[in-house]
Amino acid sequence: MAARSAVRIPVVGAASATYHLVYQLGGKYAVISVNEKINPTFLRAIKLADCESRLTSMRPLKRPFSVPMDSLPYTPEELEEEIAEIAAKQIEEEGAQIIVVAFTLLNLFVKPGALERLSSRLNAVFVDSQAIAFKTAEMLVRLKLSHSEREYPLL
Amino acid sequence: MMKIAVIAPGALPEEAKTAMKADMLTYAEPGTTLEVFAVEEGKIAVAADLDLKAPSTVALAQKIENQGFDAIILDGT
Repeated sequence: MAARSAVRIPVVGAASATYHLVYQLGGKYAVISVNEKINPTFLRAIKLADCESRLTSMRPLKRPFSVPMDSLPYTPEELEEEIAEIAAKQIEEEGAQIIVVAFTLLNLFVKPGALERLSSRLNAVFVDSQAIAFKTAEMLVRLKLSHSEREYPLL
Repeated sequence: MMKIAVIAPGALPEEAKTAMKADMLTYAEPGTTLEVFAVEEGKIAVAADLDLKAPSTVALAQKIENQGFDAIILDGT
């Protein structure tokens, strides 16, 4: 979050905005990642946000998204189905109530309404990180709030 | 009117930026506009930690603020 010491306008981290909102939606949550190699990065973000205690697991997709994206690992239907399979385990085996698919570009790779369908099918809350980050940014601007100058002095 | 900037962790194809914008505008307040920027330094990473590219991210954030944006979203952090 070095950017916060460079500007005075609000800087919203998509991950931290998501995890802090998740804490208002239920007790336990689980994360589905799109590439196991970057799980440590995601876990660092969760620890930095102090949201580790309610995390049940972070499970990756079987076929990772990687770059360059010359060929996509899943069709939209396959991706939705795999998310459903992983989430079902997290819900049934771990007691997760909320599922975070840690991929802000998710909506570009699934059919419209995927998260709503998954929520209905599995009776759990599926959140859209990109939407949460965007609405958090709008809310901060609307409320005329930004980060603390004491915590993030201009450097 | 509100201007939101999204910083992606790596260079994105124009079509991906356009699709991201279209998706976000479906839930934006009326009058909110947005632009997608990318930290070009290094290899693109899916949801990479932008703090790994802190100097470039800081420079881009300052540029965005100077352009009159109201807020910045860091994707992948």
